[in-house]
Amino acid sequence: MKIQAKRSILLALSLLLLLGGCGYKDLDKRFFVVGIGVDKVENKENVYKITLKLAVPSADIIKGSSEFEIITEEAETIAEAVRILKSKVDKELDFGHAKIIILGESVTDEDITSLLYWFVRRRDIQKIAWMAVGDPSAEEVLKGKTKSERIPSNSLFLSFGRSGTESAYIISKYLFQFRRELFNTGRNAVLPVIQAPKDDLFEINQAIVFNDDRKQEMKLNSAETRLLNVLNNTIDKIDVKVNKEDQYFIIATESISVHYKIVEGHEKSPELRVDLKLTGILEEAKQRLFENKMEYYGKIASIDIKNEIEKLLVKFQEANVDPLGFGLLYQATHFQNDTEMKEWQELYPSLKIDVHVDTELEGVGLVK
Amino acid sequence: MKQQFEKSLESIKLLLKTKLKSDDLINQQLHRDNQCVEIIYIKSICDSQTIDLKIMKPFFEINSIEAYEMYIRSLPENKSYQSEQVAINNLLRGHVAIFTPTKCIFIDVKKIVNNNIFETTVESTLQGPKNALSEDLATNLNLIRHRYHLQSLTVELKAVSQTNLQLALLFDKSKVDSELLAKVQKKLASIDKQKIESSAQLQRYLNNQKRRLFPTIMITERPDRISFNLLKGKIAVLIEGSQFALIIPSVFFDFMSSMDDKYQSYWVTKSLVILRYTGLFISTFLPGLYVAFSAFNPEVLRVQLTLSISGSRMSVPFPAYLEVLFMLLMMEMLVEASIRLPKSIGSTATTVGGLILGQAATQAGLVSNIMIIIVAAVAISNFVVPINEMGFSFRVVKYVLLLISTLFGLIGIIFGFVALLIYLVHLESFGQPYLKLFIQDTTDKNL
Repeated sequence: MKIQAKRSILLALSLLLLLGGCGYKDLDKRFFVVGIGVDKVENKENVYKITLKLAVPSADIIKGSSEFEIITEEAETIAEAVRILKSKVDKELDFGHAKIIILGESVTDEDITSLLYWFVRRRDIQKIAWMAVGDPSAEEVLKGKTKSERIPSNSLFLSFGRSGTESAYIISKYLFQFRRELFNTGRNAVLPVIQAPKDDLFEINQAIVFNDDRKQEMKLNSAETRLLNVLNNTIDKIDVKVNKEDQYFIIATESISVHYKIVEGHEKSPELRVDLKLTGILEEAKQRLFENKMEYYGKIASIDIKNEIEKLLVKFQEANVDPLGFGLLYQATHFQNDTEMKEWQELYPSLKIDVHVDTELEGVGLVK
Repeated sequence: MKQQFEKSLESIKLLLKTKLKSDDLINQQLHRDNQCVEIIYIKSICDSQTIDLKIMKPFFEINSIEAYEMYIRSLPENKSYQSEQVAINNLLRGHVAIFTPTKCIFIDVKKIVNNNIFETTVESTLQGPKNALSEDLATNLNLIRHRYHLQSLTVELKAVSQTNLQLALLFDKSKVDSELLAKVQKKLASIDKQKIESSAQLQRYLNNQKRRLFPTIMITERPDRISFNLLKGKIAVLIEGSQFALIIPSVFFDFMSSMDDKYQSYWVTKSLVILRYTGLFISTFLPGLYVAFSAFNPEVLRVQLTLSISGSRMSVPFPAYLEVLFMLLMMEMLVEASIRLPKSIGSTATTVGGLILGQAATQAGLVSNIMIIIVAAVAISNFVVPINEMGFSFRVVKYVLLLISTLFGLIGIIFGFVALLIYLVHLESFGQPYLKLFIQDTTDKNL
């Protein structure tokens, strides 16, 4: 009896071994997809053009010549397109390293819900793939190549992964994050925009905000994108330009922290309070700076930043989008079983926004 | 009465002469003034100088035979006759039998040629004592006694094996676990009549299991390790003619410790231990992981690395597991060959082998560059394990893991690792759990 029990446990355990996933296939029999693009085909309803960027490994590792192949197929669904694409190549397509998923800008004009299904459901697509919007199309972006990359798509991986450049203009969004934002009530999704390279460089400094219908609502310019990054608490180091009252200087921030609170008085209607605390140094100026006027510099910088933030938040409010998730905050603090979201939707367009900025300068950047 | 005894003396003489009949058996009669003494010994194992000085000369210098008898009996290591078997054994171990008219006395005059002490070769340390055990039991006991000046050190002698080898059981009676001691004694008694030539062989008989992968008894050549372990309440077994001692019980962590650990400073020791376990892990898991990563789960590594591996594998005409197996086998053969080869040829063989394996195989496109690095890492890190036996065991484990990973990928490796742990946990060394840290906690308190 005891031996039998032991044997059956062993058998059950060895069944676990079959969970290993796909079978034995050598690396050199696989094509690694390093980027997936989805575009709309012009003049055709509901037909998508799927672009895959395949890395071609080179035997000469030391030289390394970021070679890749672009294959495209048109079909009504991504799955169909991928099936057809599989027949075009001689090796197994491996999506394990498809770390970037690009939606063509044309796609974002419509509801993108159904597009995401394939990515989310496929086992071998990693949910930590970066999502972005390609301008003018996903295919053009995927075809792009920079001189510095040794591995195809590497410059995009580095840009979004923040392991390379750390720019305040780049919004990074994982697939799982994007999907969550898209389907959440109380928050609208944002995606960065990659412009197809001119002069061998990608430009990533814009963003698209999706509305409740899950289509593109507005495109943010680079200044707004940067501000959104700040308000999202995702970046610490930005440069703030102040040009006011015959002062012209640049502040390089060391740390930024933002706090949101929905404040309710007894008689007043609720208002959103934004507290932003910023420390930094004066990096560059066009006139002489004085140590004893530091507080003054901080004050005028604060006013500048405050105006910018208010402008952006009002813009969101007017378009009735909420990329910072104030709705979530309201839901979390005003739980009433179902009705709080309705309340919020009524409240948001007329919500009073109160921004407080506190700039603390650590020095004028000069040796005494 | 006296006559009877004389008669039995005669019979003993006859018995020894007939039983030990051999060309190097010397039977000599010493005569002086009507008095006669007969001596019997085996020439090849006795020191003739000692016989001459201690036994022959006094016979002619001392006047009465009674006084001579007294003199003989006051020599150290004299024994009187007990039984036939003991008498024969005594002669075989280098005693000389002296027959006076009334008595039969045995004196130890053995000559040992093979008692050279050499430097440690298997377990070298940087700053520890340099000398290893010798191949002579008495010399070895001498070495250990000189490191362990405690009254509680006990030596139990015992003969084993068909060739009648002497075996010494060493323990500190104030520290040793009596249950363990009884167990070892019982075990030794049961292997009485096997053919045993060396301590490594003895170790095989002492193990309960017939088939065994991991060593559960440590074999060491270092006297300092032996005395350190005696102090921890363990038992050491030395055997005649072997340069190695057994330490009972020994658990996994003992095999991973070098005596240098005790001689280096604290943080150096800790880092070395970490290094050793890292080496063990690399040498055991790397081949399997390579197959798992390059054939089953390439998504685990980052894309940059995956593509480099993929690029370097482009020219390789066979699957990853064959590539690994091929290279590992070549490496094992190099290692084996360099153990057996004479030193003068050994270096040539390894150079040629290394060159062919490293350079030519990649240029011919038979193996990838990354594979060469892996094989080199596996080979080198395997030798980081301080006790060779443990290194050998893991050399075997590596192939098992390679097989599992070839069949099941990364999850197979994890499964294999768990199975290995289960196996190690299940092992025991004379009642001590194999994977137990701090083995002699209770006795350490008495220190």
